[in-house]
Amino acid sequence: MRKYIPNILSRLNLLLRSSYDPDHDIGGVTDPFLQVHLLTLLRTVTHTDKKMSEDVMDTLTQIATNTESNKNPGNSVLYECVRTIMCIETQSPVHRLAINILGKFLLNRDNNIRYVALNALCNAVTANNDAIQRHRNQIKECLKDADITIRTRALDLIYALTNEENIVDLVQDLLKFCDMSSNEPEFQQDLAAKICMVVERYAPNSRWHIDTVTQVMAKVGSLVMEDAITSLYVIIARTPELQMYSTYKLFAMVSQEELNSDPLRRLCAWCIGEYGTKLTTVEGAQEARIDENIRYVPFTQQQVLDCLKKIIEHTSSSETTKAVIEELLKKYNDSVAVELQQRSVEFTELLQKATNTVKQEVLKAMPAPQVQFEDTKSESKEVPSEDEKPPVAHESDSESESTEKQQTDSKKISSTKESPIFPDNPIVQPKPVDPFPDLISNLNNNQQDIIPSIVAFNKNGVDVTFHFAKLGYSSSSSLVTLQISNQLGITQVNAVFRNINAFSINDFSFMVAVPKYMALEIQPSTGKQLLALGQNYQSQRFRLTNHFHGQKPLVIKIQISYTDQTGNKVVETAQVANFPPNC
Amino acid sequence: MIRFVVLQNRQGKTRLAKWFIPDFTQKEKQKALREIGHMVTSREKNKCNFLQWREYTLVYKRYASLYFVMCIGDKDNEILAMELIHQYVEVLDSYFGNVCELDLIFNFDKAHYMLDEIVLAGQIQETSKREVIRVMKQQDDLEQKINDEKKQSASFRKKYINDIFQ
Repeated sequence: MRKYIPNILSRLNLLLRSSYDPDHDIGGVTDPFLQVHLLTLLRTVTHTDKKMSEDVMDTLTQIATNTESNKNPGNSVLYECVRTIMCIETQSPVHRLAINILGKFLLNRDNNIRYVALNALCNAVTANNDAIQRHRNQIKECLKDADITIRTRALDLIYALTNEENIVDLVQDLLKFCDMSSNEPEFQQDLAAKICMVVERYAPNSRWHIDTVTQVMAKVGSLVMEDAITSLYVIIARTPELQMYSTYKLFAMVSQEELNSDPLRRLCAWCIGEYGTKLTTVEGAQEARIDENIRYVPFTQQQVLDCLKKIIEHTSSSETTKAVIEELLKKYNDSVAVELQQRSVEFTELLQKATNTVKQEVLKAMPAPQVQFEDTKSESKEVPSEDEKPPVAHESDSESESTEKQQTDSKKISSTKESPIFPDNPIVQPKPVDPFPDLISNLNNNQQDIIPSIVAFNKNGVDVTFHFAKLGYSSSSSLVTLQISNQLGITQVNAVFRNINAFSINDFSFMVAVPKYMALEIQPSTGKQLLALGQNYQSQRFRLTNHFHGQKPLVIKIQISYTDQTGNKVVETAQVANFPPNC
Repeated sequence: MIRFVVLQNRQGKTRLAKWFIPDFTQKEKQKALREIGHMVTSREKNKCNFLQWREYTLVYKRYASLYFVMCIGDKDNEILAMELIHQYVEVLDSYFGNVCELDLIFNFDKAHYMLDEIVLAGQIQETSKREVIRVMKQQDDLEQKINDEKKQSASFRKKYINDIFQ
């Protein structure tokens, strides 16, 4: 193919130098259609070559410098030229020239030109990060654009450009845009998710991390991703020196501003519950204000947790506050919300009946969770759901019989509704790092119930991870499931799919086949699209029943299929046999 | 490569549709046209003229009451597609002389011929406006000539039959 290159080049040069030709001239450019197609051809022909001759570079540079850029035809040629340069492996000056052309495009008033520039920059960002960094300000300007397609692309680009050095500046700007885009919840949500992701990845220190994510939470309220919030819990729990700071800060945020942010309230409630004892300085006043706080928080779940934390704090508080707490708890004893009622009843009983030692153990501060930061996405979500509920069930063992009666009541109610193993609605689900259950699980040494996750498939940048749940320990109703958990051979799997390629993939589907001695129940997947660079993940749950538990191994076959960036359908199959023994 | 070209008016009525790929059945085509109509007509003026549709990119431009939509692949040059739309419109304009929607309704065949001259099998084949117009004129002349001949021969036959009977 190389022998055609001189021919193509001479034609391009001819077009570049030719004088005015009324037949083919469009907006001062001689036959842009032909030029663009010649450039495309050049790109295709030279694609496999690692080294590029001087001539090609010369011609491309000439086109890039000599083409007029104030009209569409010229821009189309320039754009194609830039794309050709990007495809050719070459020394960086020409690449820099190309990036500069795109930078100029970004200043163009025409939306279309900016759109293609952002698209091209998105494709080039991994290879030319440094050169693109210089155009950061222009890209930031594009975030203000009225057109959402441009904004989302600019946001993607900014996301890719963020690193340890510029994160503080960039995030500050992004937060500003977050305010500006308040009338577009979808974009705002995307923005918030991106901020949280870069913060998680590049945050210079934990304090800044906490500050930033709480700011995001204050701005966008419940639109913040659960992941980000979860990791925030983890960070606070793991850095004791920041616990007091964050508790104060959160408390100030919640009590001073009229906030509509549910996650922030929950976080605040959790902090006060966990670390309230550290606020020894103004303890009395502090607690009074917490009581005040609880009254105007309208969210049920919030209150449940609030109550829960209150009890924990209770160990060190005075008689009057104790009375206040009890009153508050009683208020929900006959609440219509089952979850709320159950908790309120349980805690009342706990306060009244349980011995001091049990109480102290139960209400002790929880240990910091051992979650890896890199994996917070998938694991922190799973781990809690595994050891979330058993404690409440065990609690009834350690408590008096009246509690049991109460709980059977609530069990009756809750068993009528479907009790999913992985609760679908994160709001209904108690907070993952809920200290209360965890502590009791410590008491009962339930730690071995955490089943490690496995990577079932990892090829071409697409990976599938299996997370397991013990049947009895994750449902929202406590006693019912404990009975089922004795059935052996049932494995509940949550398969999480992720795509770390530079391109998004569509029509993702996941299928499971099992041998005859096993039964399979599979639920629909959460979605079919996996965004590039692991920006999102989809999951699908299924249940395996091994009729020959203990005699025959747990083995399944999986098949995944998807469409990649070129529109090709990819189908991959794999056998999964490395299930952990205790799943 | 251009996948298809569609002309729709503001109400979403299709005035011209030319498909260069065989992927769609008649039913799917109808569905696609409806989808595109919705997407394109609902867009505000200040937004950019490129749209992601399924695995393709739609490039559209509005001229008076008509939307010209071109569907291209994701590797194609969007700005060039815009330019091609403009080129087509200019050809239409110089052929009809101040083209309007009615011209395209009543002379849809001509609009198709012109598009055929410019785009062949999804690739641009003629970039000169003058050449397209020249070919169109030639075609019209040929048509005219054939019509004249038909008329002539008809009148000649009439005369001949009359002569025989007399």
